[in-house]
Amino acid sequence: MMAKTLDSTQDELTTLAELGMKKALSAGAEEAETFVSWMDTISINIKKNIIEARRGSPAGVGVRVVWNGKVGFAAQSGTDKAGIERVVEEALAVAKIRPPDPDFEQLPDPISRPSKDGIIHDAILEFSEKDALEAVNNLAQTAFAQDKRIRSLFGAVEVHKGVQAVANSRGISDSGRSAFIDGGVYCVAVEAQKQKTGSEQIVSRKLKDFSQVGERAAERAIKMLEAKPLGRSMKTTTVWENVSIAHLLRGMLNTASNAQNVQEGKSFFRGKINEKVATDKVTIVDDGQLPEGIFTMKVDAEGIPTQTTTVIDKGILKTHLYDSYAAQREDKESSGNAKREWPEPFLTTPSVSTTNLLVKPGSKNLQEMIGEVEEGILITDMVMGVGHANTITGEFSVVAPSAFQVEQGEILHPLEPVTVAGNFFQALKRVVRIGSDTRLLTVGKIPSMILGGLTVSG
Amino acid sequence: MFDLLKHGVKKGEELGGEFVEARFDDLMVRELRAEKRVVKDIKSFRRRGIGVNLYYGGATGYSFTVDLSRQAVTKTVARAMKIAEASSGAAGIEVEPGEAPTSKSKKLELRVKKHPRDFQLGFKKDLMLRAVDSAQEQGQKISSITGRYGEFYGEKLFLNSAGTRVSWHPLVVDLRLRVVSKEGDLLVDGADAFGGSFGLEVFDSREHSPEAMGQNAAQWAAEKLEAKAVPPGKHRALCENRLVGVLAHESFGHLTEGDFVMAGMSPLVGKLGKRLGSEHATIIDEGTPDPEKYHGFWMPFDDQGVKTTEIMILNKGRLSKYLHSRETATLMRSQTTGNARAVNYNFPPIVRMRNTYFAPGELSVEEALEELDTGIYAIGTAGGQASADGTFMFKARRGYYVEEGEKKHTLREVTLTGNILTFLKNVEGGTSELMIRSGYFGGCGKGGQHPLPVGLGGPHLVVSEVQFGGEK
Repeated sequence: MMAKTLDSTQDELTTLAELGMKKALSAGAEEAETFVSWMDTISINIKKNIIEARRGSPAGVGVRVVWNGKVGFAAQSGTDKAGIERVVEEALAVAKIRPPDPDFEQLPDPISRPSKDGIIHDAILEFSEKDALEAVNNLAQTAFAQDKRIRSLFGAVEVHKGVQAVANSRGISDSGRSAFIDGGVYCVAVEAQKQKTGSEQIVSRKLKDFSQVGERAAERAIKMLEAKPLGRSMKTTTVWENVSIAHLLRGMLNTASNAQNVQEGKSFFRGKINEKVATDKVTIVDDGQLPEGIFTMKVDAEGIPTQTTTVIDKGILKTHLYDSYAAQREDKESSGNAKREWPEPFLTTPSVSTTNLLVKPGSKNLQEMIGEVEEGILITDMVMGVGHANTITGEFSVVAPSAFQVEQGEILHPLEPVTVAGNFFQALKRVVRIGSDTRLLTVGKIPSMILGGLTVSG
Repeated sequence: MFDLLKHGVKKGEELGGEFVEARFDDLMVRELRAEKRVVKDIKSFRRRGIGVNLYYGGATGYSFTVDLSRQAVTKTVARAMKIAEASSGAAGIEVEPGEAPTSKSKKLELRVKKHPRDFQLGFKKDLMLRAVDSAQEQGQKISSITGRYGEFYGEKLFLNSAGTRVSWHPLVVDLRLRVVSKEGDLLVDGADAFGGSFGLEVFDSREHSPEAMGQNAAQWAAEKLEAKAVPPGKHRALCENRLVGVLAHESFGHLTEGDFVMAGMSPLVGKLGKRLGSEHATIIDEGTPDPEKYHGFWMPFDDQGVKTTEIMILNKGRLSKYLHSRETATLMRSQTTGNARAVNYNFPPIVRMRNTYFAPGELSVEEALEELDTGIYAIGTAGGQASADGTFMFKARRGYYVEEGEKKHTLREVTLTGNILTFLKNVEGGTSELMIRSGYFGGCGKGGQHPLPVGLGGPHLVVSEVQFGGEK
């Protein structure tokens, strides 16, 4: 039933995209591209026992035109035809005042590569507000039931169903769709004067049972109540749980592997193709075609088929990632990495971004990895400050509220928040071990890792 | 447009809604980015939509539409009712709109000399490139220069079942510059920015001119080529205005938000009237700091149509107020403080800050440096984060090592960590000047609602025992 709605939406948006493209050409554009998106979101939040619910579908149109060799972009919410005409006019006005960009050649030509959308699960399409409410309640209750010391929590279950279509005057006309569920909880445990937190999240294209999410988040928070201060600053081995390293890794690689950043001198991976940038344990793939990947789609935000790209192979940097603009500057083909920001992708011009990052797993699980560490720190759960890391230079300083002291292969005790600092790209050359415990997250599939030589203080 | 909102409220009431709020946002947004002199990106978009929040049976339902027809609004109201109905059985606590003062106001607007709507994009592009040129001329070993300009303006309308009917015109302008210098494998950066609710005339003054911005960013990057890392550990600190603002907002302000307090998340539960900090720590959250003097975000009404006022949340170290929306105020038997805000029509309003700042003290900056004696002078903000227990991590843009009141050498990565409740106790004094800044770029994120424009600021604060992280 819902799959049909998605089908008809996809047809509707494709027709609109082609219409917008033609309107732009007849208004005087030399080249034109129209991007249309629609995304239905059901979002149910719980704050302790207060529920906040919303549902709606942001939709809109973004138009890119070339006029006199110059590029203009404009966008507007809504998909009415009169609106599209206004957007075309504004895009042309922007192009007219833009200086020519010597690096821009043309909008992309179609590339023929086999590609498809990720998994679309009927149960996700049919998931209702009522189902989401039940899931959220379940998640909250299992967390509270886990331990009396769980004082409060924030939980959420969201279901997203989206369609995007893009058409350009060079013959691209394609579309993609996606549907996934995302559920998580952030718990606060309190005992005596201590307040500790724990979080857990599942994101998936298939329906999941969220009851364990609540339990695990609660467990994480409770464990930390025994925390002791580290009381010093030291350079040491750090064992990162998959969820702890994932966002830092993605932030750094997203900047460094972006070909446009490379061209503009803002990437650590500039001039390093075929050079060793990490230990040979490190193989990292950007996979826009991973069936279960959250950012998998048949085509990227420019209508180019997505693909699987090996970025780092056994420590050697193999390639950067491209959209059509960056690719044309080097006479290359786009790697299908053009992205516009969800949930309102129509608002922005495409830019280079990773899709689903896959770090090739090793053979040992987290427990076995810890067993190898003579002295070090285990970092679990989410870390703070990833968004403020300097992804150009690699310098970072994050706070880990859920870290543990490790000695002689054993976890000694939890620690009061510690700061972990260093240079991520230097750390890639000190990857001691990669775990077998790959986990599906929004950024891709990431295992736990052991890094050497970072400074931990607290 | 008010007719359409009225239609929505009426329909909601007919369906059984006990209280209905309808909003219309129409914002024009423009954003430019240049890499050196090449204008890489111009974004221009208009975002219009209607949001409906409906209270029914102790729950709320929110829905929105980008289709501005009567038919679409009718459907949106029905969707909001459906969610509210579904939630009403499940909620453990009943949410009620409670009482709030009603307002009527039409097209309230900040008076500025050069409103961005009256100026072509070309004019704004030139502002940005002037800053780039200035940095190019004055920088050393430059690897990249990124200039950014952003603006938004438009109209917000609000109507509810109680008869509030307001409309006002938000406005934000922002110019930023970042210079990256490179020597061998070492990359360092310098950045300057100026943003808030004001007209383009502010860039005519020498202090805020694009040329001054270019010079600052270039010089601060160059200084870092020679900079040293902060020795990790506890230091005395002099925190500059913008850094102090981030601390006030991120690490303390969020803890006073009624929804956090209600949920028992905040360590400030049950602490009203209690002493939390030194007598030098006073924190205010307000909607319309004097636009003649400061450069915050001007918002005369919140997204529940409540007129904003000045709210003192920390008074000489004592916790004096929590921040509220209608719902949290009703649940906690208090009054709304006009802090209900939504980032756009995709979301219902939740408790958010407006302009949050430490109140000024009595020292001059020189006196503050003397008080600091030996320690770290941390300047500006490259972002920060805080968690529910008051733990924070903030990065200053730059810093200096100070010995006996004298600036000695430049520092590279300046990261402060700690717990705000300890930090507040260690505030030893503030300077007499007050700076408030806002902007188009950055902004606050909460509950998936990002980026919400907020103002931040304060004086310089002298603080003891601040933990600095960094590489050994």
